[in-house]
Amino acid sequence: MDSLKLIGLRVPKMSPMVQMQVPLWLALILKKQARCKIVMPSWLEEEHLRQVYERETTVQDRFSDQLPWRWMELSQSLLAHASDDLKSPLAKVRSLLQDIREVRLAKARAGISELNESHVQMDNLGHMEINELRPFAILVMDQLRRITSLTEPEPDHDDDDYDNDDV
Amino acid sequence: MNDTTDIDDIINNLRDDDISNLHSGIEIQSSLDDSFQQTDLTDLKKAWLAERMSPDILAFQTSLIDRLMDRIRIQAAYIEENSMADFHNSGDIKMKLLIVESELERIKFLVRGYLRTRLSKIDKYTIYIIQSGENQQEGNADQFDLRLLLSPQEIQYMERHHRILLNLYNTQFLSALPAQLQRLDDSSGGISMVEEPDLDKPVFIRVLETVERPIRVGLDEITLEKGNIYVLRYSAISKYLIGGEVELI
Repeated sequence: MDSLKLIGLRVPKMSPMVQMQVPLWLALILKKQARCKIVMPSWLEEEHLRQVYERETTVQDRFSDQLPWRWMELSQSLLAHASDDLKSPLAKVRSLLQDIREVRLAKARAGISELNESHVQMDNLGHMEINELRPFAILVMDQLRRITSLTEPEPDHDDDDYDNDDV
Repeated sequence: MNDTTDIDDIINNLRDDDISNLHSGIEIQSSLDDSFQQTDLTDLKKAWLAERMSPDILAFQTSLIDRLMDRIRIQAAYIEENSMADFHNSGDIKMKLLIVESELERIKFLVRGYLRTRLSKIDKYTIYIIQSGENQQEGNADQFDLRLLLSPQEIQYMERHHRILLNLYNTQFLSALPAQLQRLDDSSGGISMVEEPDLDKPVFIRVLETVERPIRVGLDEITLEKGNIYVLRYSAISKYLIGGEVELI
């Protein structure tokens, strides 16, 4: 197919057997029409997932940083529409993903007890995982903030700008 | 049915000369702004998310939305032009149309989401926004005129909507109430009727660039380092959001 100009990108001329990088939505359209093979990201292969899983189970207090930001969304749509392009056996990858998800979910749940009124750090959490936590976390923090602001006079956070000028 | 034939005629007339001109114009321009395009799309996604997550209203992305709307128009014209071209053409054009249309819909979704989110905030905080402008005119310099954050269309919408709503309330029931209860912006009794955005609402942020100075949140101090994800109150990071050091997620 000839090159094509879109709003967000320019699709280069596509010819058979040539690898190129396109957005996922475009790859999935082509895949559905059986016009392409998707080169799977390396993190979605069995070997890498096994490593991630081991890291997740050994390191208890942190999330592994070896997964991309939208790993749940990406793996879901790639496995649903392009599972035949996967090099590793599909069942293995699926069960590993499921295991990783469960370990991380357990950690995230344990982390809920850390919620407080001012701030919580959640590094390396995926976008989907954050969205799962969001309604609950925000509600709890908001309520806690209201309670503490009633019990003790709130330190004036408006003077953020000045607190660095400590002379 | 007359309408469609009219449009057909117009487009047929246009197609031969104007559109070919249009396209050659785009070709020249495109080599320049290929990378530009890509950042526009990421910027749009960012603006959309930020608007959805922040409790207050952010500045309208005038130039970004203008550029995108222009391109949406060009793509829509492309679809129109090509879907009317003879169909015994190869399957290639169908494929292209499918791709162009999918992308167009994806971007329209984002733009729509962005504008709608803003409108819902404008509806919610109408009186607050209008008051912020009035206060400033009266010389209260400590309050920022929030209307500066809106696009002209949004201001027009807000003012008309407010007028219509006020009119409705007045004719429906306010006129039947005692005079001292008729105001919609009453703040006597310690509680203000005017709904204000809650700037201390917790938000999820991701740090894009390390901020050297620690920021104070409540009683603690934290340093924002690149890649960190935090949940904290919006007021603590709103200035870094505008500066681009953090993004809302």
